[in-house]
Amino acid sequence: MKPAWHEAFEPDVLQHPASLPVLSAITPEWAWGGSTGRGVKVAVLDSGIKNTHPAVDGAVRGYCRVVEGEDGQFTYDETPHTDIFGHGTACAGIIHKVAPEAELYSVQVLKPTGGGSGGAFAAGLHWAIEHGMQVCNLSLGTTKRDFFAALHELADLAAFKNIMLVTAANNMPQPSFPSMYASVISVACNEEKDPFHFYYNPAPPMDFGAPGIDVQVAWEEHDYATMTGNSFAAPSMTGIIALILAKHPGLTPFLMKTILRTTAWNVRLPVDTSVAEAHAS
Amino acid sequence: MIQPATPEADHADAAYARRLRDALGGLGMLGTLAAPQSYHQLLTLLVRDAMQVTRAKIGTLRLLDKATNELVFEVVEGAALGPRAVEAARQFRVPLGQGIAGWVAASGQPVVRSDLAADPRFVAEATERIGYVPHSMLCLPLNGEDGILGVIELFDKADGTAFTADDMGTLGVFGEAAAAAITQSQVLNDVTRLFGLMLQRLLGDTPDAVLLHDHVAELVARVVETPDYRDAIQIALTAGQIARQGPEARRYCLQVLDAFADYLRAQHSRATLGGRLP
Repeated sequence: MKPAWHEAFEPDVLQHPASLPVLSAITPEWAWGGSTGRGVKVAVLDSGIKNTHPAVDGAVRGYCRVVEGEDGQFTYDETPHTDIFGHGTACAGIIHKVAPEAELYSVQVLKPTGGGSGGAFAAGLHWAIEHGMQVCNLSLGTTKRDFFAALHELADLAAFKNIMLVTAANNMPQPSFPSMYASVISVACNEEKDPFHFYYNPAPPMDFGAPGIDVQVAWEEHDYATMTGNSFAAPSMTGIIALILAKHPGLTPFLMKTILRTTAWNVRLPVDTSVAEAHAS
Repeated sequence: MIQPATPEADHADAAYARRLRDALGGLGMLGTLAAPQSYHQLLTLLVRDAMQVTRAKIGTLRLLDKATNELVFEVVEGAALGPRAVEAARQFRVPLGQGIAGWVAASGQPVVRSDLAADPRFVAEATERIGYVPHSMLCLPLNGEDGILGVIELFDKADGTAFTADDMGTLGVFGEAAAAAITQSQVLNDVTRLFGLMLQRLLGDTPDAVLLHDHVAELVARVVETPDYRDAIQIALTAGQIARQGPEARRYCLQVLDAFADYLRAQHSRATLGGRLP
Protein backbone atom coordinates (compact mmCIF):
# COMPACT_ATOMS: atom_id res chain seq x y z
CA MET A 1 0.00 0.00 0.00
CA LYS A 2 1.43 3.38 -0.97
CA PRO A 3 1.78 5.82 1.89
CA ALA A 4 -0.21 9.02 1.80
CA TRP A 5 2.00 11.97 1.00
CA HIS A 6 1.54 13.65 4.36
CA GLU A 7 3.18 10.71 6.15
CA ALA A 8 6.58 12.14 5.21
CA PHE A 9 5.86 14.94 7.70
CA GLU A 10 4.92 12.86 10.71
CA PRO A 11 7.25 13.51 13.68
CA ASP A 12 8.87 10.08 13.73
CA VAL A 13 9.74 10.08 10.01
CA LEU A 14 10.27 13.79 9.36
CA GLN A 15 13.72 14.42 7.90
CA HIS A 16 15.87 17.41 8.77
CA PRO A 17 18.01 18.05 5.68
CA ALA A 18 21.16 20.05 6.41
CA SER A 19 21.01 23.74 5.62
CA LEU A 20 23.62 24.99 3.15
CA PRO A 21 26.02 27.36 4.95
CA VAL A 22 26.48 29.56 1.87
CA LEU A 23 22.74 30.27 1.95
CA SER A 24 22.77 31.42 5.56
CA ALA A 25 21.82 34.96 4.52
CA ILE A 26 18.43 33.61 3.41
CA THR A 27 16.35 33.91 6.54
CA PRO A 28 12.57 34.18 6.98
CA GLU A 29 13.06 37.84 7.81
CA TRP A 30 14.97 38.39 4.56
CA ALA A 31 12.53 36.26 2.55
CA TRP A 32 9.15 37.64 3.64
CA GLY A 33 9.62 39.86 6.70
CA GLY A 34 7.24 42.84 6.49
CA SER A 35 5.67 41.66 3.24
CA THR A 36 1.92 41.58 2.69
CA GLY A 37 2.08 40.21 -0.85
CA ARG A 38 1.18 43.64 -2.17
CA GLY A 39 0.55 43.75 -5.91
CA VAL A 40 1.39 40.09 -6.61
CA LYS A 41 -1.09 38.58 -9.04
CA VAL A 42 -2.34 35.20 -7.77
CA ALA A 43 -4.68 33.07 -9.86
CA VAL A 44 -6.88 30.49 -8.17
CA LEU A 45 -7.86 27.84 -10.70
CA ASP A 46 -10.89 26.26 -9.13
CA SER A 47 -14.67 26.56 -8.77
CA GLY A 48 -14.58 30.39 -8.66
CA ILE A 49 -14.18 32.77 -5.73
CA LYS A 50 -16.98 34.37 -3.74
CA ASN A 51 -15.52 37.84 -3.41
CA THR A 52 -18.01 38.90 -0.72
CA HIS A 53 -17.10 36.13 1.72
CA PRO A 54 -15.41 37.73 4.75
CA ALA A 55 -12.45 35.35 4.35
CA VAL A 56 -11.74 36.86 0.92
CA ASP A 57 -12.83 40.37 1.81
CA GLY A 58 -12.99 41.78 -1.71
CA ALA A 59 -9.44 40.80 -2.72
CA VAL A 60 -10.49 39.53 -6.16
CA ARG A 61 -9.18 41.79 -8.95
CA GLY A 62 -10.21 39.82 -12.03
CA TYR A 63 -12.18 36.87 -13.33
CA CYS A 64 -12.00 34.29 -16.07
CA ARG A 65 -14.58 31.56 -16.59
CA VAL A 66 -13.55 28.84 -19.00
CA VAL A 67 -16.50 27.97 -21.23
CA GLU A 68 -16.52 24.82 -23.31
CA GLY A 69 -18.55 25.20 -26.49
CA GLU A 70 -20.58 22.45 -28.13
CA ASP A 71 -17.84 22.16 -30.73
CA GLY A 72 -15.33 21.42 -27.95
CA GLN A 73 -13.65 24.83 -28.30
CA PHE A 74 -12.88 26.83 -25.17
CA THR A 75 -13.62 30.51 -24.74
CA TYR A 76 -12.99 32.87 -21.84
CA ASP A 77 -15.72 34.88 -20.09
CA GLU A 78 -14.05 37.64 -18.05
CA THR A 79 -17.20 39.07 -16.50
CA PRO A 80 -17.42 38.67 -12.69
CA HIS A 81 -18.70 35.32 -11.45
CA THR A 82 -19.17 33.76 -8.04
CA ASP A 83 -18.16 30.40 -6.63
CA ILE A 84 -20.28 27.49 -7.82
CA PHE A 85 -19.64 25.27 -4.84
CA GLY A 86 -17.21 26.84 -2.38
CA HIS A 87 -13.90 25.02 -2.94
CA GLY A 88 -12.22 27.99 -4.64
CA THR A 89 -13.40 30.41 -1.94
CA ALA A 90 -11.99 28.11 0.76
CA CYS A 91 -8.59 28.18 -1.01
CA ALA A 92 -8.72 31.93 -1.71
CA GLY A 93 -9.52 32.64 1.95
CA ILE A 94 -6.35 30.83 3.05
CA ILE A 95 -4.21 32.76 0.53
CA HIS A 96 -5.76 36.06 1.62
CA LYS A 97 -5.09 35.32 5.28
CA VAL A 98 -1.36 34.75 4.61
CA ALA A 99 -0.91 37.46 1.94
CA PRO A 100 -3.67 40.04 2.57
CA GLU A 101 -2.54 42.46 -0.16
CA ALA A 102 -2.03 39.90 -2.93
CA GLU A 103 -4.34 40.43 -5.91
CA LEU A 104 -6.56 37.43 -6.44
CA TYR A 105 -7.84 36.31 -9.85
CA SER A 106 -10.64 33.78 -10.01
CA VAL A 107 -10.17 31.31 -12.86
CA GLN A 108 -13.21 29.06 -12.91
CA VAL A 109 -12.34 25.73 -14.49
CA LEU A 110 -14.74 23.46 -12.61
CA LYS A 111 -18.37 23.08 -13.55
CA PRO A 112 -21.40 22.70 -11.27
CA THR A 113 -22.28 19.59 -13.24
CA GLY A 114 -19.32 17.67 -11.95
CA GLY A 115 -15.63 18.43 -11.95
CA GLY A 116 -14.07 19.93 -14.99
CA SER A 117 -12.55 18.45 -18.04
CA GLY A 118 -8.76 18.27 -18.26
CA GLY A 119 -9.23 20.49 -21.31
CA ALA A 120 -10.94 23.25 -19.30
CA PHE A 121 -8.18 23.01 -16.71
CA ALA A 122 -5.48 23.37 -19.40
CA ALA A 123 -7.39 26.28 -20.98
CA GLY A 124 -7.59 28.03 -17.59
CA LEU A 125 -3.88 27.53 -17.02
CA HIS A 126 -3.19 28.94 -20.47
CA TRP A 127 -5.25 32.04 -19.63
CA ALA A 128 -3.29 32.53 -16.38
CA ILE A 129 0.07 32.21 -18.17
CA GLU A 130 -0.96 34.69 -20.86
CA HIS A 131 -2.46 37.25 -18.46
CA GLY A 132 0.51 38.09 -16.28
CA MET A 133 -0.28 35.91 -13.28
CA GLN A 134 2.76 35.40 -11.04
CA VAL A 135 1.47 32.55 -8.86
CA CYS A 136 -1.22 29.98 -9.68
CA ASN A 137 -2.91 27.94 -6.97
CA LEU A 138 -3.92 24.55 -8.32
CA SER A 139 -5.73 22.67 -5.55
CA LEU A 140 -6.93 20.25 -8.18
CA GLY A 141 -5.56 18.16 -10.97
CA THR A 142 -6.44 15.46 -13.39
CA THR A 143 -5.64 11.77 -13.27
CA LYS A 144 -6.30 11.33 -16.98
CA ARG A 145 -3.14 10.39 -18.86
CA ASP A 146 -4.60 12.03 -21.99
CA PHE A 147 -3.70 15.42 -20.53
CA PHE A 148 -0.20 14.49 -19.39
CA ALA A 149 1.58 16.04 -22.38
CA ALA A 150 -0.59 19.16 -22.74
CA LEU A 151 -0.33 20.05 -19.06
CA HIS A 152 3.38 19.24 -19.00
CA GLU A 153 3.97 21.67 -21.84
CA LEU A 154 1.96 24.38 -20.05
CA ALA A 155 3.78 23.74 -16.75
CA ASP A 156 7.14 24.15 -18.52
CA LEU A 157 5.91 27.29 -20.29
CA ALA A 158 4.87 28.71 -16.92
CA ALA A 159 8.28 27.87 -15.43
CA PHE A 160 10.07 29.57 -18.34
CA LYS A 161 7.96 32.68 -17.71
CA ASN A 162 8.80 32.64 -13.98
CA ILE A 163 5.23 31.80 -13.00
CA MET A 164 4.99 29.69 -9.85
CA LEU A 165 2.52 26.82 -10.13
CA VAL A 166 1.59 25.63 -6.65
CA THR A 167 -0.24 22.29 -6.75
CA ALA A 168 -1.93 20.17 -4.12
CA ALA A 169 -0.46 16.67 -4.04
CA ASN A 170 -3.28 14.31 -4.90
CA ASN A 171 -4.95 12.93 -1.77
CA MET A 172 -5.70 9.78 -3.75
CA PRO A 173 -3.00 7.27 -4.72
CA GLN A 174 -3.40 7.75 -8.48
CA PRO A 175 -0.72 9.91 -10.13
CA SER A 176 -2.28 13.27 -10.78
CA PHE A 177 -1.13 16.05 -13.07
CA PRO A 178 0.39 18.60 -12.85
CA SER A 179 1.39 17.81 -9.23
CA MET A 180 3.83 15.10 -10.41
CA TYR A 181 5.90 17.45 -12.62
CA ALA A 182 9.32 18.75 -11.56
CA SER A 183 8.45 22.27 -12.75
CA VAL A 184 5.71 22.81 -10.16
CA ILE A 185 5.74 23.32 -6.39
CA SER A 186 3.83 20.35 -5.01
CA VAL A 187 2.34 20.55 -1.50
CA ALA A 188 0.79 18.07 0.94
CA CYS A 189 -0.47 18.75 4.45
CA ASN A 190 1.61 18.68 7.60
CA GLU A 191 0.30 18.87 11.16
CA GLU A 192 1.39 22.43 11.89
CA LYS A 193 -1.05 25.29 12.44
CA ASP A 194 1.20 28.24 11.58
CA PRO A 195 1.51 28.76 7.79
CA PHE A 196 5.14 29.81 8.27
CA HIS A 197 5.93 26.39 9.70
CA PHE A 198 6.06 24.70 6.32
CA TYR A 199 8.30 21.67 5.76
CA TYR A 200 10.63 20.69 2.95
CA ASN A 201 10.43 17.11 1.67
CA PRO A 202 13.69 15.80 0.17
CA ALA A 203 11.89 12.91 -1.56
CA PRO A 204 10.08 14.07 -4.71
CA PRO A 205 7.59 14.38 -6.34
CA MET A 206 6.03 16.14 -3.37
CA ASP A 207 8.13 19.19 -2.39
CA PHE A 208 6.65 20.83 0.69
CA GLY A 209 4.27 20.28 3.58
CA ALA A 210 2.01 23.06 4.86
CA PRO A 211 -0.90 23.21 7.32
CA GLY A 212 -3.85 21.30 5.90
CA ILE A 213 -5.18 19.35 8.87
CA ASP A 214 -8.17 20.75 10.76
CA VAL A 215 -7.82 24.19 9.21
CA GLN A 216 -10.53 26.84 9.31
CA VAL A 217 -11.77 27.43 5.78
CA ALA A 218 -14.47 29.65 4.29
CA TRP A 219 -17.72 27.67 4.04
CA GLU A 220 -21.03 28.56 2.44
CA GLU A 221 -22.40 32.10 2.78
CA HIS A 222 -20.45 33.67 5.61
CA ASP A 223 -19.42 30.67 7.63
CA TYR A 224 -16.26 28.72 8.32
CA ALA A 225 -15.68 24.99 8.65
CA THR A 226 -12.84 22.87 10.01
CA MET A 227 -11.50 20.76 7.16
CA THR A 228 -8.58 18.48 6.34
CA GLY A 229 -7.12 17.99 2.87
CA ASN A 230 -4.12 18.71 0.67
CA SER A 231 -6.38 21.17 -1.16
CA PHE A 232 -5.94 23.51 1.82
CA ALA A 233 -2.18 23.03 2.22
CA ALA A 234 -1.37 24.34 -1.28
CA PRO A 235 -2.99 27.78 -0.75
CA SER A 236 -0.99 28.26 2.43
CA MET A 237 2.23 27.88 0.39
CA THR A 238 0.77 30.05 -2.36
CA GLY A 239 0.36 32.81 0.22
CA ILE A 240 3.97 32.47 1.42
CA ILE A 241 5.22 32.56 -2.19
CA ALA A 242 3.19 35.72 -2.84
CA LEU A 243 4.83 37.33 0.22
CA ILE A 244 8.31 36.42 -1.06
CA LEU A 245 7.58 37.62 -4.62
CA ALA A 246 6.28 40.96 -3.38
CA LYS A 247 9.59 41.52 -1.62
CA HIS A 248 11.83 39.96 -4.29
CA PRO A 249 10.27 40.46 -7.72
CA GLY A 250 11.59 38.46 -10.66
CA LEU A 251 12.55 35.27 -8.81
CA THR A 252 12.60 32.14 -10.94
CA PRO A 253 10.85 28.94 -9.79
CA PHE A 254 14.20 27.27 -8.98
CA LEU A 255 15.28 30.25 -6.85
CA MET A 256 11.89 30.17 -5.13
CA LYS A 257 12.33 26.49 -4.31
CA THR A 258 15.80 27.23 -2.95
CA ILE A 259 14.44 30.00 -0.71
CA LEU A 260 11.56 27.81 0.46
CA ARG A 261 13.91 24.92 1.22
CA THR A 262 16.27 27.17 3.15
CA THR A 263 13.49 28.73 5.22
CA ALA A 264 11.55 25.50 5.79
CA TRP A 265 10.81 24.78 9.45
CA ASN A 266 12.43 21.32 9.42
CA VAL A 267 15.60 22.68 7.73
CA ARG A 268 15.93 25.70 9.99
CA LEU A 269 15.39 23.65 13.12
CA PRO A 270 17.14 20.36 12.56
CA VAL A 271 16.54 19.40 16.19
CA ASP A 272 13.50 18.95 18.39
CA THR A 273 11.50 22.13 17.72
CA SER A 274 10.35 22.50 21.30
CA VAL A 275 13.99 22.64 22.42
CA ALA A 276 14.84 25.14 19.72
CA GLU A 277 11.89 27.34 20.64
CA ALA A 278 12.86 27.24 24.28
CA HIS A 279 16.36 28.45 23.35
CA ALA A 280 14.94 31.18 21.16
CA SER A 281 12.78 32.53 23.97
CA MET B 1 -46.76 -15.34 -43.99
CA ILE B 2 -48.86 -12.56 -42.44
CA GLN B 3 -51.45 -13.92 -40.03
CA PRO B 4 -55.01 -12.49 -40.12
CA ALA B 5 -55.90 -10.49 -37.02
CA THR B 6 -58.16 -12.83 -35.09
CA PRO B 7 -58.80 -13.22 -31.34
CA GLU B 8 -56.79 -16.44 -31.53
CA ALA B 9 -53.87 -14.62 -33.15
CA ASP B 10 -54.01 -11.87 -30.49
CA HIS B 11 -53.95 -14.50 -27.80
CA ALA B 12 -50.98 -16.22 -29.45
CA ASP B 13 -49.15 -12.87 -29.67
CA ALA B 14 -49.75 -12.21 -25.98
CA ALA B 15 -48.54 -15.68 -25.04
CA TYR B 16 -45.50 -15.23 -27.25
CA ALA B 17 -44.73 -11.84 -25.67
CA ARG B 18 -44.97 -13.41 -22.22
CA ARG B 19 -42.63 -16.26 -23.14
CA LEU B 20 -40.23 -13.79 -24.71
CA ARG B 21 -40.24 -11.72 -21.53
CA ASP B 22 -39.56 -14.80 -19.44
CA ALA B 23 -36.69 -15.83 -21.68
CA LEU B 24 -35.14 -12.36 -21.61
CA GLY B 25 -35.61 -12.24 -17.86
CA GLY B 26 -33.75 -15.53 -17.67
CA LEU B 27 -30.96 -14.09 -19.77
CA GLY B 28 -30.75 -11.04 -17.53
CA MET B 29 -30.48 -13.35 -14.54
CA LEU B 30 -27.73 -15.24 -16.32
CA GLY B 31 -25.76 -12.00 -16.58
CA THR B 32 -26.41 -11.10 -12.96
CA LEU B 33 -25.38 -14.54 -11.74
CA ALA B 34 -22.20 -14.44 -13.76
CA ALA B 35 -21.31 -11.09 -12.20
CA PRO B 36 -18.89 -11.25 -9.26
CA GLN B 37 -21.63 -9.93 -7.00
CA SER B 38 -25.04 -8.42 -7.57
CA TYR B 39 -24.64 -4.69 -8.00
CA HIS B 40 -26.25 -3.69 -4.72
CA GLN B 41 -24.36 -6.39 -2.82
CA LEU B 42 -21.13 -5.04 -4.27
CA LEU B 43 -21.91 -1.46 -3.19
CA THR B 44 -22.93 -2.61 0.30
CA LEU B 45 -19.73 -4.62 0.66
CA LEU B 46 -17.66 -1.61 -0.35
CA VAL B 47 -19.28 0.59 2.30
CA ARG B 48 -18.91 -2.08 5.00
CA ASP B 49 -15.23 -2.55 4.11
CA ALA B 50 -14.63 1.22 4.25
CA MET B 51 -16.38 1.38 7.64
CA GLN B 52 -14.29 -1.50 8.95
CA VAL B 53 -11.01 0.01 7.76
CA THR B 54 -11.69 3.35 9.45
CA ARG B 55 -13.86 2.02 12.33
CA ALA B 56 -16.65 4.37 11.24
CA LYS B 57 -20.09 4.09 12.83
CA ILE B 58 -22.04 5.11 9.76
CA GLY B 59 -21.23 4.70 6.08
CA THR B 60 -23.05 5.73 2.94
CA LEU B 61 -22.46 5.48 -0.76
CA ARG B 62 -24.05 7.83 -3.24
CA LEU B 63 -23.83 7.47 -6.97
CA LEU B 64 -24.11 10.24 -9.51
CA ASP B 65 -27.32 10.21 -11.52
CA LYS B 66 -25.96 11.66 -14.76
CA ALA B 67 -29.42 12.49 -16.08
CA THR B 68 -30.20 14.87 -13.22
CA ASN B 69 -26.69 15.61 -11.92
CA GLU B 70 -27.74 14.55 -8.46
CA LEU B 71 -26.02 12.34 -5.93
CA VAL B 72 -28.40 9.55 -4.98
CA PHE B 73 -28.04 7.30 -1.92
CA GLU B 74 -27.50 3.67 -2.87
CA VAL B 75 -26.27 2.33 0.47
CA VAL B 76 -26.79 3.56 4.02
CA GLU B 77 -25.20 1.39 6.72
CA GLY B 78 -24.80 1.83 10.46
CA ALA B 79 -26.17 0.39 13.66
CA ALA B 80 -26.52 3.94 15.02
CA LEU B 81 -29.35 4.52 12.56
CA GLY B 82 -32.80 3.01 12.82
CA PRO B 83 -34.59 1.56 9.77
CA ARG B 84 -36.69 4.73 9.41
CA ALA B 85 -33.58 6.89 9.32
CA VAL B 86 -32.04 4.64 6.68
CA GLU B 87 -35.18 4.94 4.57
CA ALA B 88 -35.29 8.75 5.08
CA ALA B 89 -31.66 9.05 4.00
CA ARG B 90 -32.30 6.95 0.90
CA GLN B 91 -34.95 9.42 -0.29
CA PHE B 92 -32.47 12.28 -0.13
CA ARG B 93 -31.01 13.57 -3.40
CA VAL B 94 -28.34 16.27 -3.45
CA PRO B 95 -27.57 18.37 -6.51
CA LEU B 96 -23.92 18.08 -7.49
CA GLY B 97 -21.87 20.88 -5.97
CA GLN B 98 -24.01 21.24 -2.84
CA GLY B 99 -22.83 20.28 0.62
CA ILE B 100 -19.60 18.48 1.37
CA ALA B 101 -20.48 15.43 -0.75
CA GLY B 102 -21.26 17.65 -3.70
CA TRP B 103 -18.04 19.58 -3.14
CA VAL B 104 -15.95 16.39 -3.02
CA ALA B 105 -17.68 14.99 -6.11
CA ALA B 106 -17.11 18.19 -8.05
CA SER B 107 -13.45 18.65 -7.03
CA GLY B 108 -12.51 14.94 -7.05
CA GLN B 109 -10.56 15.41 -3.78
CA PRO B 110 -11.44 13.86 -0.42
CA VAL B 111 -11.93 16.00 2.69
CA VAL B 112 -12.40 15.47 6.38
CA ARG B 113 -14.68 17.80 8.29
CA SER B 114 -14.36 17.63 12.05
CA ASP B 115 -16.81 20.24 13.31
CA LEU B 116 -20.14 19.06 11.94
CA ALA B 117 -21.90 19.54 15.25
CA ALA B 118 -20.91 23.23 15.20
CA ASP B 119 -22.76 23.85 11.94
CA PRO B 120 -26.34 24.81 12.85
CA ARG B 121 -27.67 24.14 9.35
CA PHE B 122 -26.15 20.66 9.25
CA VAL B 123 -27.36 19.86 12.77
CA ALA B 124 -30.92 20.89 11.91
CA GLU B 125 -30.93 18.87 8.71
CA ALA B 126 -29.37 15.74 10.26
CA THR B 127 -31.72 15.87 13.25
CA GLU B 128 -34.77 16.19 11.04
CA ARG B 129 -33.81 13.54 8.52
CA ILE B 130 -32.07 10.83 10.49
CA GLY B 131 -32.40 11.79 14.15
CA TYR B 132 -28.65 11.57 14.65
CA VAL B 133 -26.02 14.31 14.56
CA PRO B 134 -22.54 13.09 13.59
CA HIS B 135 -19.45 15.03 14.70
CA SER B 136 -16.84 14.03 12.17
CA MET B 137 -17.04 13.10 8.52
CA LEU B 138 -14.70 11.73 5.87
CA CYS B 139 -15.92 12.09 2.32
CA LEU B 140 -14.13 10.26 -0.47
CA PRO B 141 -14.71 10.64 -4.21
CA LEU B 142 -15.08 7.58 -6.42
CA ASN B 143 -13.19 8.70 -9.50
CA GLY B 144 -13.99 6.72 -12.64
CA GLU B 145 -12.18 6.77 -15.96
CA ASP B 146 -14.66 9.25 -17.41
CA GLY B 147 -15.36 11.38 -14.38
CA ILE B 148 -16.88 11.04 -10.97
CA LEU B 149 -18.99 7.95 -10.18
CA GLY B 150 -20.10 9.00 -6.72
CA VAL B 151 -18.88 9.44 -3.15
CA ILE B 152 -18.43 7.36 -0.01
CA GLU B 153 -19.15 9.18 3.25
CA LEU B 154 -18.12 7.92 6.66
CA PHE B 155 -19.34 9.41 9.93
CA ASP B 156 -17.95 9.22 13.48
CA LYS B 157 -15.25 6.80 14.52
CA ALA B 158 -16.18 4.19 17.09
CA ASP B 159 -13.62 5.53 19.60
CA GLY B 160 -15.06 9.05 19.38
CA THR B 161 -11.96 10.62 17.77
CA ALA B 162 -12.16 12.57 14.52
CA PHE B 163 -11.06 11.17 11.17
CA THR B 164 -7.43 11.89 10.36
CA ALA B 165 -5.25 12.50 7.32
CA ASP B 166 -4.10 8.87 7.81
CA ASP B 167 -7.67 7.65 7.38
CA MET B 168 -7.88 9.73 4.23
CA GLY B 169 -4.68 8.18 2.87
CA THR B 170 -5.82 4.64 3.62
CA LEU B 171 -9.26 5.24 2.17
CA GLY B 172 -7.68 6.79 -0.93
CA VAL B 173 -6.21 3.41 -1.86
CA PHE B 174 -9.52 1.74 -1.12
CA GLY B 175 -11.47 4.30 -3.16
CA GLU B 176 -9.45 3.54 -6.27
CA ALA B 177 -10.26 -0.19 -6.05
CA ALA B 178 -13.90 0.55 -5.20
CA ALA B 179 -14.31 2.81 -8.24
CA ALA B 180 -12.80 0.13 -10.49
CA ALA B 181 -15.16 -2.53 -9.09
CA ILE B 182 -18.19 -0.27 -9.59
CA THR B 183 -17.16 0.53 -13.16
CA GLN B 184 -16.70 -3.17 -13.98
CA SER B 185 -20.07 -4.01 -12.52
CA GLN B 186 -21.79 -1.17 -14.41
CA VAL B 187 -20.18 -2.30 -17.66
CA LEU B 188 -21.38 -5.85 -17.10
CA ASN B 189 -24.93 -4.63 -16.44
CA ASP B 190 -24.84 -2.51 -19.59
CA VAL B 191 -23.57 -5.41 -21.69
CA THR B 192 -26.31 -7.69 -20.36
CA ARG B 193 -28.95 -5.08 -21.13
CA LEU B 194 -27.53 -4.47 -24.60
CA PHE B 195 -27.48 -8.19 -25.31
CA GLY B 196 -31.13 -8.48 -24.21
CA LEU B 197 -32.17 -5.57 -26.43
CA MET B 198 -30.32 -6.99 -29.43
CA LEU B 199 -31.93 -10.35 -28.93
CA GLN B 200 -35.35 -8.77 -28.58
CA ARG B 201 -34.83 -6.97 -31.88
CA LEU B 202 -33.61 -10.15 -33.56
CA LEU B 203 -36.52 -12.19 -32.24
CA GLY B 204 -39.03 -9.54 -33.24
CA ASP B 205 -37.89 -9.49 -36.85
CA THR B 206 -37.42 -13.20 -37.43
CA PRO B 207 -40.26 -15.17 -38.99
CA ASP B 208 -39.64 -18.25 -36.84
CA ALA B 209 -39.25 -16.15 -33.71
CA VAL B 210 -41.21 -18.57 -31.55
CA LEU B 211 -38.81 -21.37 -32.41
CA LEU B 212 -35.81 -19.19 -31.63
CA HIS B 213 -37.44 -18.07 -28.39
CA ASP B 214 -38.02 -21.65 -27.33
CA HIS B 215 -34.40 -22.44 -28.04
CA VAL B 216 -33.24 -19.49 -25.97
CA ALA B 217 -35.51 -20.37 -23.07
CA GLU B 218 -34.35 -23.98 -23.17
CA LEU B 219 -30.71 -22.91 -23.38
CA VAL B 220 -31.07 -20.60 -20.37
CA ALA B 221 -32.76 -23.30 -18.30
CA ARG B 222 -30.21 -25.92 -19.28
CA VAL B 223 -27.16 -23.74 -18.80
CA VAL B 224 -28.20 -22.51 -15.35
CA GLU B 225 -28.70 -26.09 -14.17
CA THR B 226 -25.46 -27.57 -15.50
CA PRO B 227 -22.59 -28.29 -13.09
CA ASP B 228 -20.20 -26.72 -15.63
CA TYR B 229 -22.05 -23.43 -15.37
CA ARG B 230 -22.09 -23.59 -11.59
CA ASP B 231 -18.31 -24.12 -11.68
CA ALA B 232 -18.00 -21.14 -14.04
CA ILE B 233 -19.93 -18.99 -11.58
CA GLN B 234 -17.62 -20.12 -8.79
CA ILE B 235 -14.60 -19.16 -10.89
CA ALA B 236 -16.20 -15.79 -11.65
CA LEU B 237 -16.90 -15.21 -7.93
CA THR B 238 -13.30 -16.04 -6.98
CA ALA B 239 -11.94 -13.85 -9.78
CA GLY B 240 -14.29 -11.10 -8.60
CA GLN B 241 -12.91 -11.31 -5.07
CA ILE B 242 -9.37 -11.01 -6.45
CA ALA B 243 -10.38 -8.17 -8.78
CA ARG B 244 -11.57 -6.12 -5.82
CA GLN B 245 -8.05 -6.17 -4.36
CA GLY B 246 -6.88 -3.68 -7.01
CA PRO B 247 -5.04 -3.49 -10.35
CA GLU B 248 -1.93 -5.32 -9.12
CA ALA B 249 -3.95 -8.28 -7.84
CA ARG B 250 -5.87 -8.36 -11.14
CA ARG B 251 -2.60 -8.45 -13.10
CA TYR B 252 -1.19 -11.32 -11.00
CA CYS B 253 -4.48 -13.19 -11.28
CA LEU B 254 -4.40 -12.84 -15.08
CA GLN B 255 -0.76 -13.95 -15.21
CA VAL B 256 -1.54 -17.07 -13.17
CA LEU B 257 -4.63 -17.87 -15.23
CA ASP B 258 -2.79 -17.27 -18.52
CA ALA B 259 0.06 -19.54 -17.40
CA PHE B 260 -2.43 -22.24 -16.46
CA ALA B 261 -4.23 -21.85 -19.79
CA ASP B 262 -0.88 -22.15 -21.62
CA TYR B 263 -0.11 -25.29 -19.65
CA LEU B 264 -3.49 -26.80 -20.53
CA ARG B 265 -3.03 -25.90 -24.20
CA ALA B 266 0.43 -27.50 -24.16
CA GLN B 267 -0.99 -30.65 -22.55
CA HIS B 268 -3.70 -30.71 -25.20
CA SER B 269 -1.10 -30.38 -27.99
CA ARG B 270 0.92 -33.26 -26.56
CA ALA B 271 -2.17 -35.40 -26.30
CA THR B 272 -3.07 -34.53 -29.88
CA LEU B 273 0.43 -35.35 -31.09
CA GLY B 274 0.30 -38.69 -29.30
CA GLY B 275 3.36 -38.15 -27.17
CA ARG B 276 5.62 -37.43 -30.13
CA LEU B 277 7.09 -34.34 -28.46
CA PRO B 278 10.06 -34.62 -26.07
